[in-house]
Amino acid sequence: MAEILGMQNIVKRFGAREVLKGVSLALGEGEVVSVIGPSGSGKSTLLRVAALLERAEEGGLCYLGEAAAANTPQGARYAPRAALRACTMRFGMVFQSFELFPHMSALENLTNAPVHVKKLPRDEAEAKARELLARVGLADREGSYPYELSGGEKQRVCIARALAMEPKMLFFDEPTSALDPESTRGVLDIIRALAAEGMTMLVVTHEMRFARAVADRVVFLEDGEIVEQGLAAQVIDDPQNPRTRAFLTTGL
Amino acid sequence: MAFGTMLLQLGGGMLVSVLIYVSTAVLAVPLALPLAFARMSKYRALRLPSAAYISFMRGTPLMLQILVVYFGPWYLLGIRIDFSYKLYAVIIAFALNYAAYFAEIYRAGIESIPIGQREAAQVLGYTKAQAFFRIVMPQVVKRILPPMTNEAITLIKDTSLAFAIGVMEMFTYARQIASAQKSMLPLAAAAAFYYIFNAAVAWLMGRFEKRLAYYR
Repeated sequence: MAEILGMQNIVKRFGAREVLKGVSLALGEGEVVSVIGPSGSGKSTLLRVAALLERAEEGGLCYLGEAAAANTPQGARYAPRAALRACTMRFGMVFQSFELFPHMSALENLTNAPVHVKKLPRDEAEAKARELLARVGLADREGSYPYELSGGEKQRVCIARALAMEPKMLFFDEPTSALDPESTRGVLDIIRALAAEGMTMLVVTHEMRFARAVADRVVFLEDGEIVEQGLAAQVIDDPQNPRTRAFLTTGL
Repeated sequence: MAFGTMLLQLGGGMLVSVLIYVSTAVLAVPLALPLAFARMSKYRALRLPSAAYISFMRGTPLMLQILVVYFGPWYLLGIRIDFSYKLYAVIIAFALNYAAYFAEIYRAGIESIPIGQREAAQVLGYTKAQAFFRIVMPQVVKRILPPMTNEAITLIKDTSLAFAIGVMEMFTYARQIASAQKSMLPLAAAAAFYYIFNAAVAWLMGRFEKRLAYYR
Protein backbone atom coordinates (compact mmCIF):
# COMPACT_ATOMS: atom_id res chain seq x y z
CA MET A 1 0.00 0.00 0.00
CA ALA A 2 1.55 3.26 -1.14
CA GLU A 3 2.00 5.90 1.50
CA ILE A 4 -0.01 9.00 0.68
CA LEU A 5 0.76 11.04 3.77
CA GLY A 6 3.61 10.58 6.18
CA MET A 7 4.06 12.65 9.33
CA GLN A 8 7.02 11.85 11.56
CA ASN A 9 7.51 13.10 15.09
CA ILE A 10 5.70 16.37 14.52
CA VAL A 11 6.33 18.95 17.24
CA LYS A 12 4.40 22.19 17.05
CA ARG A 13 4.76 25.03 19.54
CA PHE A 14 2.82 28.24 19.89
CA GLY A 15 5.26 30.32 21.89
CA ALA A 16 6.25 28.22 24.89
CA ARG A 17 3.18 26.00 24.66
CA GLU A 18 3.80 22.66 22.99
CA VAL A 19 0.62 21.76 21.13
CA LEU A 20 1.92 18.66 19.36
CA LYS A 21 4.52 16.61 21.18
CA GLY A 22 5.98 14.36 18.55
CA VAL A 23 3.04 12.92 16.64
CA SER A 24 3.60 10.38 13.89
CA LEU A 25 0.90 9.38 11.48
CA ALA A 26 0.87 7.63 8.13
CA LEU A 27 -1.98 7.23 5.69
CA GLY A 28 -1.90 4.56 3.04
CA GLU A 29 -3.75 4.79 -0.25
CA GLY A 30 -7.50 4.66 0.22
CA GLU A 31 -7.23 4.76 3.98
CA VAL A 32 -9.67 6.79 6.04
CA VAL A 33 -8.33 7.91 9.39
CA SER A 34 -10.37 9.75 11.95
CA VAL A 35 -8.73 11.90 14.59
CA ILE A 36 -10.75 12.27 17.75
CA GLY A 37 -10.01 13.86 21.09
CA PRO A 38 -11.10 16.63 23.43
CA SER A 39 -11.00 20.32 22.49
CA GLY A 40 -7.50 21.70 22.74
CA SER A 41 -5.93 18.28 22.28
CA GLY A 42 -4.17 19.50 19.14
CA LYS A 43 -6.22 17.67 16.53
CA SER A 44 -6.98 20.74 14.44
CA THR A 45 -3.35 21.81 14.68
CA LEU A 46 -2.29 18.36 13.50
CA LEU A 47 -4.55 18.71 10.47
CA ARG A 48 -3.30 22.23 9.80
CA VAL A 49 0.32 21.06 9.92
CA ALA A 50 -0.61 18.28 7.49
CA ALA A 51 -2.28 20.85 5.21
CA LEU A 52 0.83 23.08 5.34
CA LEU A 53 -1.16 25.87 6.98
CA GLU A 54 1.06 25.69 10.08
CA ARG A 55 4.76 24.99 10.19
CA ALA A 56 5.99 22.36 12.59
CA GLU A 57 9.09 23.16 14.61
CA GLU A 58 10.29 19.59 14.44
CA GLY A 59 9.47 16.54 12.41
CA GLY A 60 9.14 15.37 8.85
CA LEU A 61 6.32 15.55 6.32
CA CYS A 62 5.87 13.85 3.01
CA TYR A 63 3.16 13.48 0.42
CA LEU A 64 3.22 10.54 -1.98
CA GLY A 65 6.89 10.10 -1.21
CA GLU A 66 7.70 13.76 -1.90
CA ALA A 67 9.22 15.44 1.17
CA ALA A 68 7.73 18.76 2.22
CA ALA A 69 9.72 18.93 5.43
CA ALA A 70 12.81 16.98 6.34
CA ASN A 71 13.22 15.76 9.90
CA THR A 72 16.68 17.05 10.82
CA PRO A 73 18.40 17.33 14.22
CA GLN A 74 18.08 21.13 13.81
CA GLY A 75 14.32 20.80 13.46
CA ALA A 76 11.89 20.53 10.59
CA ARG A 77 13.45 21.82 7.39
CA TYR A 78 10.76 22.82 4.94
CA ALA A 79 11.20 22.65 1.18
CA PRO A 80 11.20 25.86 -0.90
CA ARG A 81 7.86 27.52 -1.59
CA ALA A 82 7.45 26.08 -5.09
CA ALA A 83 7.95 22.53 -3.84
CA LEU A 84 5.46 23.11 -1.02
CA ARG A 85 2.93 24.35 -3.54
CA ALA A 86 3.44 21.19 -5.55
CA CYS A 87 2.72 19.18 -2.39
CA THR A 88 -0.34 21.33 -1.71
CA MET A 89 -1.78 20.32 -5.06
CA ARG A 90 -1.91 16.72 -3.85
CA PHE A 91 -4.46 17.32 -1.14
CA GLY A 92 -7.69 19.20 -0.67
CA MET A 93 -9.18 20.57 2.49
CA VAL A 94 -12.67 21.10 3.86
CA PHE A 95 -13.02 23.65 6.64
CA GLN A 96 -15.41 23.79 9.55
CA SER A 97 -16.26 27.36 8.51
CA PHE A 98 -16.62 26.38 4.81
CA GLU A 99 -14.60 29.33 3.46
CA LEU A 100 -16.36 29.39 0.14
CA PHE A 101 -15.50 32.50 -1.85
CA PRO A 102 -18.53 34.76 -1.29
CA HIS A 103 -18.07 36.80 -4.46
CA MET A 104 -18.28 33.74 -6.68
CA SER A 105 -21.23 31.55 -7.60
CA ALA A 106 -21.13 27.89 -6.62
CA LEU A 107 -19.91 27.05 -10.13
CA GLU A 108 -17.16 29.69 -10.07
CA ASN A 109 -16.06 28.46 -6.66
CA LEU A 110 -15.39 25.14 -8.37
CA THR A 111 -13.82 26.47 -11.57
CA ASN A 112 -11.65 29.37 -10.39
CA ALA A 113 -8.75 27.34 -9.05
CA PRO A 114 -8.72 24.77 -11.90
CA VAL A 115 -8.73 27.61 -14.44
CA HIS A 116 -6.20 29.92 -12.77
CA VAL A 117 -4.01 27.49 -10.86
CA LYS A 118 -4.10 24.43 -13.11
CA LYS A 119 -4.66 26.45 -16.30
CA LEU A 120 -7.47 24.13 -17.33
CA PRO A 121 -9.59 25.43 -20.27
CA ARG A 122 -12.72 27.09 -18.89
CA ASP A 123 -15.24 24.84 -20.66
CA GLU A 124 -13.45 21.77 -19.42
CA ALA A 125 -13.37 23.13 -15.86
CA GLU A 126 -17.08 23.98 -16.05
CA ALA A 127 -18.05 20.56 -17.33
CA LYS A 128 -16.12 18.97 -14.50
CA ALA A 129 -17.61 21.41 -11.96
CA ARG A 130 -21.17 20.61 -13.08
CA GLU A 131 -20.45 16.93 -12.75
CA LEU A 132 -19.16 17.47 -9.19
CA LEU A 133 -22.09 19.67 -8.20
CA ALA A 134 -24.44 16.97 -9.44
CA ARG A 135 -22.54 14.46 -7.40
CA VAL A 136 -23.06 16.40 -4.18
CA GLY A 137 -26.71 16.87 -5.06
CA LEU A 138 -26.53 20.54 -6.03
CA ALA A 139 -26.83 20.43 -9.81
CA ASP A 140 -29.58 23.06 -9.72
CA ARG A 141 -27.63 25.50 -7.55
CA GLU A 142 -24.64 26.29 -9.77
CA GLY A 143 -25.66 29.94 -10.10
CA SER A 144 -26.26 30.44 -6.38
CA TYR A 145 -23.91 32.53 -4.29
CA PRO A 146 -22.70 31.18 -0.95
CA TYR A 147 -25.01 33.49 1.03
CA GLU A 148 -27.96 31.88 -0.72
CA LEU A 149 -26.96 28.38 0.37
CA SER A 150 -27.70 26.64 3.65
CA GLY A 151 -24.83 25.45 5.85
CA GLY A 152 -25.08 21.91 4.60
CA GLU A 153 -25.19 23.04 0.99
CA LYS A 154 -22.16 25.26 1.55
CA GLN A 155 -20.21 22.35 2.95
CA ARG A 156 -21.19 20.16 0.01
CA VAL A 157 -19.98 22.85 -2.41
CA CYS A 158 -16.81 23.06 -0.35
CA ILE A 159 -16.18 19.34 -0.77
CA ALA A 160 -16.89 19.63 -4.50
CA ARG A 161 -14.48 22.59 -4.72
CA ALA A 162 -11.73 20.52 -3.14
CA LEU A 163 -12.47 17.61 -5.51
CA ALA A 164 -12.33 19.92 -8.54
CA MET A 165 -8.55 20.07 -8.10
CA GLU A 166 -8.39 16.27 -8.28
CA PRO A 167 -6.48 15.76 -5.05
CA LYS A 168 -5.01 12.46 -3.95
CA MET A 169 -6.30 12.94 -0.43
CA LEU A 170 -8.73 15.09 1.51
CA PHE A 171 -8.44 16.70 4.92
CA PHE A 172 -11.59 17.48 6.87
CA ASP A 173 -11.47 19.81 9.84
CA GLU A 174 -14.64 19.14 11.83
CA PRO A 175 -16.72 19.35 8.66
CA THR A 176 -20.07 19.01 10.40
CA SER A 177 -19.53 20.97 13.62
CA ALA A 178 -21.42 24.00 12.30
CA LEU A 179 -24.31 21.98 10.86
CA ASP A 180 -27.70 20.76 12.06
CA PRO A 181 -28.27 16.98 12.26
CA GLU A 182 -29.95 16.71 8.89
CA SER A 183 -27.26 18.66 7.02
CA THR A 184 -24.68 16.66 8.92
CA ARG A 185 -26.14 13.47 7.53
CA GLY A 186 -25.97 14.83 3.98
CA VAL A 187 -22.33 15.79 4.34
CA LEU A 188 -21.37 12.53 6.03
CA ASP A 189 -23.09 10.55 3.27
CA ILE A 190 -20.86 12.29 0.74
CA ILE A 191 -17.75 11.52 2.77
CA ARG A 192 -18.89 7.92 3.08
CA ALA A 193 -19.34 7.70 -0.70
CA LEU A 194 -15.85 9.11 -1.21
CA ALA A 195 -14.48 6.49 1.18
CA ALA A 196 -16.22 3.78 -0.81
CA GLU A 197 -14.54 5.08 -3.97
CA GLY A 198 -11.15 4.78 -2.33
CA MET A 199 -10.37 8.41 -1.50
CA THR A 200 -7.68 8.77 1.15
CA MET A 201 -9.02 10.95 3.95
CA LEU A 202 -7.96 12.38 7.27
CA VAL A 203 -11.00 13.51 9.23
CA VAL A 204 -11.01 15.46 12.47
CA THR A 205 -14.45 14.91 13.89
CA HIS A 206 -16.69 14.76 16.92
CA GLU A 207 -19.07 12.36 15.21
CA MET A 208 -18.14 9.09 16.91
CA ARG A 209 -20.78 7.05 15.14
CA PHE A 210 -19.54 8.33 11.82
CA ALA A 211 -15.91 7.70 12.72
CA ARG A 212 -16.81 4.18 13.72
CA ALA A 213 -18.77 3.50 10.56
CA VAL A 214 -16.48 5.08 7.97
CA ALA A 215 -12.95 5.30 9.32
CA ASP A 216 -10.55 2.41 8.92
CA ARG A 217 -8.51 3.68 11.81
CA VAL A 218 -9.21 6.01 14.69
CA VAL A 219 -6.51 8.05 16.37
CA PHE A 220 -7.23 9.40 19.83
CA LEU A 221 -5.24 12.54 20.51
CA GLU A 222 -4.92 14.12 23.92
CA ASP A 223 -2.68 16.91 25.08
CA GLY A 224 -0.64 16.81 21.88
CA GLU A 225 0.03 13.09 21.94
CA ILE A 226 -1.50 10.05 20.34
CA VAL A 227 -2.83 8.16 23.33
CA GLU A 228 -4.45 5.33 21.47
CA GLN A 229 -5.02 4.26 17.92
CA GLY A 230 -6.33 1.26 16.11
CA LEU A 231 -9.24 -0.10 14.14
CA ALA A 232 -12.18 2.26 14.42
CA ALA A 233 -14.60 -0.23 15.96
CA GLN A 234 -11.99 -1.43 18.41
CA VAL A 235 -10.96 2.00 19.71
CA ILE A 236 -14.49 3.34 19.95
CA ASP A 237 -16.26 0.24 21.29
CA ASP A 238 -13.50 -1.11 23.46
CA PRO A 239 -10.92 1.56 24.31
CA GLN A 240 -7.90 0.22 26.15
CA ASN A 241 -6.51 3.48 27.46
CA PRO A 242 -8.28 4.93 30.52
CA ARG A 243 -8.14 8.45 29.03
CA THR A 244 -9.77 7.31 25.80
CA ARG A 245 -12.38 5.49 27.84
CA ALA A 246 -13.10 8.57 29.91
CA PHE A 247 -13.42 10.74 26.81
CA LEU A 248 -15.71 8.34 25.01
CA THR A 249 -18.05 7.83 27.94
CA THR A 250 -18.45 11.53 28.66
CA GLY A 251 -18.90 12.08 24.93
CA LEU A 252 -21.90 9.80 24.71
CA MET B 1 -19.74 91.37 -14.29
CA ALA B 2 -22.42 89.48 -16.10
CA PHE B 3 -23.65 86.30 -14.47
CA GLY B 4 -22.63 84.30 -17.53
CA THR B 5 -19.06 85.66 -17.47
CA MET B 6 -18.76 84.78 -13.82
CA LEU B 7 -19.94 81.23 -14.43
CA LEU B 8 -17.47 80.95 -17.28
CA GLN B 9 -14.58 82.02 -15.05
CA LEU B 10 -15.67 79.69 -12.28
CA GLY B 11 -16.08 76.93 -14.82
CA GLY B 12 -12.49 77.47 -15.95
CA GLY B 13 -11.36 77.24 -12.33
CA MET B 14 -13.46 74.13 -11.89
CA LEU B 15 -11.47 72.47 -14.68
CA VAL B 16 -8.31 73.01 -12.63
CA SER B 17 -10.04 71.63 -9.53
CA VAL B 18 -11.19 68.57 -11.45
CA LEU B 19 -7.69 68.13 -12.87
CA ILE B 20 -6.26 68.12 -9.33
CA TYR B 21 -9.05 65.77 -8.27
CA VAL B 22 -8.56 63.22 -11.03
CA SER B 23 -4.75 63.31 -10.84
CA THR B 24 -4.85 62.79 -7.09
CA ALA B 25 -7.23 59.86 -7.38
CA VAL B 26 -5.24 58.23 -10.19
CA LEU B 27 -1.98 58.54 -8.22
CA ALA B 28 -3.14 57.96 -4.64
CA VAL B 29 -5.35 54.90 -5.21
CA PRO B 30 -2.46 52.68 -6.41
CA LEU B 31 0.19 54.38 -4.25
CA ALA B 32 -1.76 53.50 -1.11
CA LEU B 33 -1.58 49.76 -1.82
CA PRO B 34 2.16 49.22 -1.21
CA LEU B 35 1.84 51.62 1.70
CA ALA B 36 -0.90 49.47 3.24
CA PHE B 37 1.14 46.30 2.65
CA ALA B 38 4.18 47.85 4.29
CA ARG B 39 2.01 48.92 7.21
CA MET B 40 0.86 45.29 7.67
CA SER B 41 4.25 43.73 7.02
CA LYS B 42 5.78 41.36 9.54
CA TYR B 43 9.08 43.19 9.00
CA ARG B 44 9.65 46.19 11.26
CA ALA B 45 11.87 47.81 8.64
CA LEU B 46 8.80 48.14 6.42
CA ARG B 47 6.11 48.53 9.06
CA LEU B 48 7.64 51.37 11.06
CA PRO B 49 8.47 53.76 8.20
CA SER B 50 5.02 53.22 6.74
CA ALA B 51 3.34 53.82 10.10
CA ALA B 52 5.46 56.95 10.63
CA TYR B 53 4.61 58.24 7.15
CA ILE B 54 0.89 57.72 7.66
CA SER B 55 1.04 59.30 11.09
CA PHE B 56 2.86 62.37 9.73
CA MET B 57 0.66 62.84 6.68
CA ARG B 58 -2.50 62.55 8.73
CA GLY B 59 -1.14 64.56 11.63
CA THR B 60 -0.14 67.73 9.77
CA PRO B 61 -2.28 70.10 7.69
CA LEU B 62 -2.53 69.44 3.97
CA MET B 63 -1.91 73.14 3.33
CA LEU B 64 1.43 72.91 5.09
CA GLN B 65 2.29 69.84 3.03
CA ILE B 66 1.50 71.72 -0.18
CA LEU B 67 3.88 74.50 0.88
CA VAL B 68 6.61 72.00 1.73
CA VAL B 69 6.28 70.20 -1.59
CA TYR B 70 6.28 73.51 -3.49
CA PHE B 71 9.06 75.36 -1.67
CA GLY B 72 11.01 72.35 -0.40
CA PRO B 73 13.10 71.83 -3.54
CA TRP B 74 14.38 75.43 -3.30
CA TYR B 75 14.88 75.68 0.46
CA LEU B 76 16.23 72.20 0.99
CA LEU B 77 18.04 71.44 -2.26
CA GLY B 78 18.61 74.82 -3.82
CA ILE B 79 16.73 73.84 -6.97
CA ARG B 80 15.20 76.85 -8.72
CA ILE B 81 11.44 76.46 -8.82
CA ASP B 82 9.78 76.83 -12.17
CA PHE B 83 6.42 78.56 -12.15
CA SER B 84 4.81 75.63 -13.96
CA TYR B 85 5.78 73.40 -11.01
CA LYS B 86 2.94 74.94 -8.99
CA LEU B 87 0.20 72.68 -10.25
CA TYR B 88 2.45 69.65 -10.05
CA ALA B 89 3.34 70.52 -6.46
CA VAL B 90 -0.33 70.64 -5.54
CA ILE B 91 -1.00 67.29 -7.21
CA ILE B 92 2.04 65.65 -5.60
CA ALA B 93 1.09 66.94 -2.15
CA PHE B 94 -2.50 65.80 -2.57
CA ALA B 95 -1.47 62.35 -3.80
CA LEU B 96 1.00 61.87 -0.94
CA ASN B 97 -1.56 63.02 1.62
CA TYR B 98 -4.53 61.04 0.33
CA ALA B 99 -2.43 57.89 -0.12
CA ALA B 100 -1.93 57.88 3.66
CA TYR B 101 -5.67 57.96 4.30
CA PHE B 102 -6.39 55.40 1.55
CA ALA B 103 -3.71 53.07 2.95
CA GLU B 104 -5.48 52.93 6.29
CA ILE B 105 -8.81 52.26 4.59
CA TYR B 106 -7.22 49.46 2.55
CA ARG B 107 -5.64 48.02 5.68
CA ALA B 108 -8.97 47.97 7.50
CA GLY B 109 -10.55 46.32 4.46
CA ILE B 110 -7.85 43.70 4.04
CA GLU B 111 -7.76 42.85 7.73
CA SER B 112 -11.54 42.44 7.79
CA ILE B 113 -11.37 39.47 5.38
CA PRO B 114 -11.25 36.25 7.42
CA ILE B 115 -7.85 34.56 7.35
CA GLY B 116 -9.67 31.35 6.36
CA GLN B 117 -10.30 32.82 2.90
CA ARG B 118 -6.56 33.04 2.25
CA GLU B 119 -6.02 29.60 3.75
CA ALA B 120 -8.68 28.09 1.52
CA ALA B 121 -6.99 29.72 -1.47
CA GLN B 122 -3.57 28.47 -0.38
CA VAL B 123 -4.80 24.89 -0.06
CA LEU B 124 -6.32 25.15 -3.55
CA GLY B 125 -2.86 25.99 -4.86
CA TYR B 126 -3.18 29.73 -5.42
CA THR B 127 0.04 31.68 -5.06
CA LYS B 128 -0.02 34.51 -2.51
CA ALA B 129 -0.44 37.06 -5.30
CA GLN B 130 -3.26 35.08 -6.92
CA ALA B 131 -4.99 34.68 -3.57
CA PHE B 132 -4.80 38.41 -2.99
CA PHE B 133 -5.95 39.57 -6.40
CA ARG B 134 -8.57 36.88 -7.05
CA ILE B 135 -9.96 36.17 -3.61
CA VAL B 136 -9.16 38.95 -1.14
CA MET B 137 -9.17 42.13 -3.22
CA PRO B 138 -12.61 41.77 -4.81
CA GLN B 139 -14.08 41.41 -1.32
CA VAL B 140 -12.02 44.33 -0.01
CA VAL B 141 -13.26 46.64 -2.78
CA LYS B 142 -16.85 45.99 -1.80
CA ARG B 143 -16.19 46.69 1.86
CA ILE B 144 -14.18 49.87 1.44
CA LEU B 145 -16.49 51.62 -1.00
CA PRO B 146 -18.41 53.58 1.67
CA PRO B 147 -15.29 55.02 3.36
CA MET B 148 -13.71 55.65 -0.05
CA THR B 149 -16.82 57.59 -1.06
CA ASN B 150 -16.26 59.77 2.00
CA GLU B 151 -12.72 60.51 0.88
CA ALA B 152 -13.77 61.09 -2.72
CA ILE B 153 -16.21 63.75 -1.52
CA THR B 154 -13.73 65.42 0.84
CA LEU B 155 -11.13 65.53 -1.91
CA ILE B 156 -12.95 67.92 -4.25
CA LYS B 157 -13.59 70.27 -1.35
CA ASP B 158 -9.92 70.08 -0.36
CA THR B 159 -8.82 71.21 -3.83
CA SER B 160 -9.60 74.75 -2.68
CA LEU B 161 -6.40 74.54 -0.58
CA ALA B 162 -4.40 74.91 -3.79
CA PHE B 163 -4.86 78.67 -3.42
CA ALA B 164 -2.10 78.49 -0.76
CA ILE B 165 0.53 78.60 -3.51
CA GLY B 166 -1.58 80.58 -5.93
CA VAL B 167 -2.97 77.86 -8.14
CA MET B 168 -6.05 79.33 -9.77
CA GLU B 169 -8.65 76.73 -9.03
CA MET B 170 -12.34 77.36 -8.80
CA PHE B 171 -12.58 78.65 -5.26
CA THR B 172 -9.73 81.13 -5.79
CA TYR B 173 -11.74 82.68 -8.63
CA ALA B 174 -14.88 82.68 -6.54
CA ARG B 175 -13.23 84.62 -3.72
CA GLN B 176 -11.62 87.09 -6.11
CA ILE B 177 -14.85 87.83 -7.91
CA ALA B 178 -16.77 87.98 -4.64
CA SER B 179 -14.45 90.60 -3.16
CA ALA B 180 -14.25 92.59 -6.39
CA GLN B 181 -18.02 92.62 -6.83
CA LYS B 182 -18.87 92.83 -3.16
CA SER B 183 -21.33 90.02 -3.77
CA MET B 184 -22.18 86.68 -2.24
CA LEU B 185 -23.32 85.36 -5.59
CA PRO B 186 -19.93 83.91 -6.70
CA LEU B 187 -19.67 82.03 -3.42
CA ALA B 188 -23.15 80.62 -3.87
CA ALA B 189 -22.21 79.60 -7.40
CA ALA B 190 -19.04 77.94 -6.07
CA ALA B 191 -21.10 76.04 -3.53
CA ALA B 192 -23.37 74.88 -6.33
CA PHE B 193 -20.38 73.73 -8.38
CA TYR B 194 -19.02 71.67 -5.49
CA TYR B 195 -22.39 70.29 -4.63
CA ILE B 196 -23.22 69.20 -8.15
CA PHE B 197 -19.80 67.61 -8.58
CA ASN B 198 -20.14 65.72 -5.32
CA ALA B 199 -23.68 64.64 -6.10
CA ALA B 200 -22.29 63.11 -9.29
CA VAL B 201 -19.46 61.40 -7.38
CA ALA B 202 -21.86 60.03 -4.77
CA TRP B 203 -24.20 58.81 -7.49
CA LEU B 204 -21.37 57.08 -9.31
CA MET B 205 -20.10 55.40 -6.17
CA GLY B 206 -23.66 54.35 -5.34
CA ARG B 207 -23.93 52.70 -8.75
CA PHE B 208 -20.65 50.95 -8.10
CA GLU B 209 -21.90 49.68 -4.73
CA LYS B 210 -25.07 48.39 -6.36
CA ARG B 211 -23.04 46.52 -8.95
CA LEU B 212 -21.25 44.73 -6.13
CA ALA B 213 -24.44 44.03 -4.19
CA TYR B 214 -24.93 40.69 -5.95
CA TYR B 215 -23.26 38.92 -3.02
CA ARG B 216 -22.97 39.30 0.70
